[in-house]
Amino acid sequence: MGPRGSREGRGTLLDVIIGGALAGALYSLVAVGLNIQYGITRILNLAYGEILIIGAYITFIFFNFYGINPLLTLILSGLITFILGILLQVAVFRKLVHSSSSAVELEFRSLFACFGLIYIIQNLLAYIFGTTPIGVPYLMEGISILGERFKTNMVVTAVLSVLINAVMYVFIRFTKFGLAMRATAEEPLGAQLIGIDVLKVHLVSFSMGCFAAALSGSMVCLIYSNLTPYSGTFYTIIALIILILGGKGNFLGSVAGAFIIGCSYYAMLRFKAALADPVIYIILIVVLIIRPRGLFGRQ
Amino acid sequence: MLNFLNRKAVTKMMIMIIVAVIIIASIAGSLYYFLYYLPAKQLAPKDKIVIGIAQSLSGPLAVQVMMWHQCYKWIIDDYNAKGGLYVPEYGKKLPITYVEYDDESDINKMLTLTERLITIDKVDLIFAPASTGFCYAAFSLYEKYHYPVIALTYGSQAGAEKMRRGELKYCFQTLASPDEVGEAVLGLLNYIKDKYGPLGNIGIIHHTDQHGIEHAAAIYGQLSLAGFNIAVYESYPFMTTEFKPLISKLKEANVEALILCGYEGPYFLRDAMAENYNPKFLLLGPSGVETPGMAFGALGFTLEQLKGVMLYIGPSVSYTENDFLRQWAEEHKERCRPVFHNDYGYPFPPSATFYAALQCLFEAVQKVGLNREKIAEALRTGSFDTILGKMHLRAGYSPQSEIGGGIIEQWQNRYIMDVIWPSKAASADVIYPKPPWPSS
Amino acid sequence: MSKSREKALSLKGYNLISFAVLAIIVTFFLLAPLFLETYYLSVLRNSLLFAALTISWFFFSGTTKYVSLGSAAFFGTGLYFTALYLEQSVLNKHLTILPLPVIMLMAGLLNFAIAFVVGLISLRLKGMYFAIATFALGEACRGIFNYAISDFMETHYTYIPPFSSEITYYTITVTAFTIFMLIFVLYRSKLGLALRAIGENEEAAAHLGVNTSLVKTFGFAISAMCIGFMGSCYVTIFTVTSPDIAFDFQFSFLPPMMAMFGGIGSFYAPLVGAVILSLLREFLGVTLVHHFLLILGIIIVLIAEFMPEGVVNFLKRWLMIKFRIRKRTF
Repeated sequence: MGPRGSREGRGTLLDVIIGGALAGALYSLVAVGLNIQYGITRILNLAYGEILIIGAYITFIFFNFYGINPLLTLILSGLITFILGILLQVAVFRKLVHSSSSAVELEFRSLFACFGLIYIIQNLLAYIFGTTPIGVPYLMEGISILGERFKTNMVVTAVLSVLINAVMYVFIRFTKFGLAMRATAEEPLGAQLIGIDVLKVHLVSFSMGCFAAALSGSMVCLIYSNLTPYSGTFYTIIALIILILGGKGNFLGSVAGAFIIGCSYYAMLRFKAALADPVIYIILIVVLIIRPRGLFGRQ
Repeated sequence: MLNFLNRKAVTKMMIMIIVAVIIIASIAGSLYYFLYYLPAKQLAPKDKIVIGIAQSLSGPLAVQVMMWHQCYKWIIDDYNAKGGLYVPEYGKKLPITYVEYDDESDINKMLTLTERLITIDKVDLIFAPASTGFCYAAFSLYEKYHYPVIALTYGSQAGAEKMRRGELKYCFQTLASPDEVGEAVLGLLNYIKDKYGPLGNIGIIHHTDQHGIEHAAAIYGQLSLAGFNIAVYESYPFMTTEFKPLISKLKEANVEALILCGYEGPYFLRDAMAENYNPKFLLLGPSGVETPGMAFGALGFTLEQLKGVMLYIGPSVSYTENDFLRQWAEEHKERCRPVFHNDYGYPFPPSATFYAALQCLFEAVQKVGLNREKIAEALRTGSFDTILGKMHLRAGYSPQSEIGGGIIEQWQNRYIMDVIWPSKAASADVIYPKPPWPSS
Repeated sequence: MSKSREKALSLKGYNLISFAVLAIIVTFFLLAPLFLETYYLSVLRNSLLFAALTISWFFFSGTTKYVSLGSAAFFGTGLYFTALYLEQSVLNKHLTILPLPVIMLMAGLLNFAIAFVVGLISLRLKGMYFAIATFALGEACRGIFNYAISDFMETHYTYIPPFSSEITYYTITVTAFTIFMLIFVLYRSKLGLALRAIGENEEAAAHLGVNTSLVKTFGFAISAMCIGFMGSCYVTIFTVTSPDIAFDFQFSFLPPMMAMFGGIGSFYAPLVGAVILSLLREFLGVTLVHHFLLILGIIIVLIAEFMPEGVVNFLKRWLMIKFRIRKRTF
């Protein structure tokens, strides 16, 4: 064992904080998409992780078969998934929303429909691409931050996630359409009454959520080489946990929740690795016991 | 009630009727197929051999099946190309067909489907599912119905002990059991100590699945008894991709010889390269890094990056032993092209042994016929001509030929791993210490 | 007998045909090993298993509309309690070998206690929060068991002595039917009525004098206890188990899906829906080997959109209209 000087201790803490922050940045992008979808359209999209994996596969196709730079494929996968989001809304969810007589019934039915969607997307991808894990190993070299080494692609994706989050935040907070989105989130009926085209808001917000999912999926594809058509459920879970931790509809809350999750996973990996997997669930349960609305939830 | 008769409801009704009809039709159709059609087929005179396969074609275990069970289809095709399998009772060769079901990586479904293969489809032989747990659960069915099965991916101590004691008479394993691996690691480390001087601190990390726990315990047991100093003995989550915190710990403890018992090799390598952590001795578990089609394909490594990395994985060959194996390796490359979509489809180390083990089963049929009791007896006692020469199966150990039990291989200068231990099976000497990560 | 007790056990509104059908079905299941191959027995056994899980899930989540995605936690706990007990009774000669029903009862009571505590804490959460919290509970159990078993028992797998397939079949069948009867009686009792009232409008129920937290917790605990019973008997199928098998997400995912497939309006709909979906999965899986999950997914989405009340309820309504049945025969 090396000498336990103060430098070692600081190294550990710094390592956990930076590593957790990098992971957290990516997770925040994952969570923000689901937050927008659920907060505005009130549909709990359990197939969110599957859409994320679709984004990853699109990046894989463009990189593997056409040789396009992975960072450029981000835009392509985002656009394609945006359109896919609109199609999903039109084909599946709008009917559910219109024919449900209560919010509870909508929740049940959208849950059920999402189970079906999960099966469909997973098996379509498995049918087309097979079950071999895919990955786009890109920028795998190490880079030094404050004395700790990290993979370059983690840093790049973290920075990109923060940028995209910022852009979306600015859009929602400072534009007129963003105001319409926030109004629909808070008061769906009232928003209709004052003339907001709720249909357009729903379409755009659901697709924005899919856009965020696809972007984070593409970035995940760059970092990890183990994506299969079945990897999506993990990201749905992460998104749901962060969504609840941060509070439904709360953008900054999701970002904060994501950092908490990222840092605790990293910290646990450092100290007692075998408990790293359950620690995020335990944190969620503890938070919900203490504050049933989530850490930053209003309403 | 009358509003069900208006037009919108009629269309809605039609769609609902269609869905209901589909459900009822599929149930009725399946019932007909299985209660009338298949039994009628059974009564026809025997004109082919049927092999039953219940494995995971979807779900998390599908990757393992894809990597390790390619030889299932190949051996059937190879024997069919020569006219089929000779059956003494009929005095002629019968073509081989197979019935395959997907258990979706669900163990209960795998057991139900295996029961189906045995009792309804009445197959002649069965090929085992992938993964240690699934194989062990299926063993009880094989024992109950007296089906001799060669499990390619079973590598656990509990079943091996039962086989050695004679409690499992119809199940045969192909991989090395953890104690064999432990002995091999001890042998290699002693060899390196004698040749290059004392090693530094040793670290053993393992995942929380049965494979990792058993192999790590076996290796730890052997090494600590022999006096090696194990500085770090840690577990990490199954299939995790974040190794940075663990690597920091290993660096702090000055670990120079690292043994990773688990399937997470590639992720560890990525993080170790990023961290510039370069132990002098690096031994990984089976993970795709030993399969050239994966390592240089989907995983994206280069030979310079992998040079010096070692793997334990049971009964391996280096495909340089004779011309036949060299040729087999080239054919393997062509056969794997549709699987990996690249030019690196060379065999993974035990690929030939898996094929040879299945050959034992087929050769047993050619010797004693389709009576399963006789086949099991022959497998227990006989030796068979295979692509690796004469092979006989040892209950509870990996199969014997010139090879031996636990075998360790290393990436050196070719696109196939070289066997480096035990010496009598080695194709090259071990490269120690491991060269530094290429900078790029 | 108190009035509610009388009503729960009464035969009013049910005619002889229903009882005859029930008797035929039960006799069929009990005598099946005499004339069916083990494969068909396994298929029947699996469908009864999922039917029992579905109806237990439905007893709490279908009535109160608090969707619980944590059935796997209780299933796995029941399974592991029984598996560890059986394993230790083989290895450790000092441990008295209790008959399986007693072990199952103990596992069920353990689950009841755990669920009671969990319920008291978590039933303040509403809607989606409750769903995610229960899901987190299931996954946390899996992770903790993974850690505990590998660290304290030096192994990942727990080995179980083998049971003959007849014993397995009868254990699961008898337990499943017992659970059906139990839930049936409870559903028609005051507890069931209170749960349904909470599902319709919790505030109104509270105003009417229903002690909502106690009723919810009790309902949740009973549901968990029944799920634990089924987890216990699941052990008899395997010779090896691990936390990943025991706490597999499909046990949290499939009961709600089967219940919604059948319909969550009445008692029979989820039950029949679960049996139909189980059989469908089995037969489609064997005939269409490579594509059946895709087709199943499409069927589910279509049903979610066009048959919101569930397949069974829809068929019932359609048949009632077609044949102009007015009286309730179910």
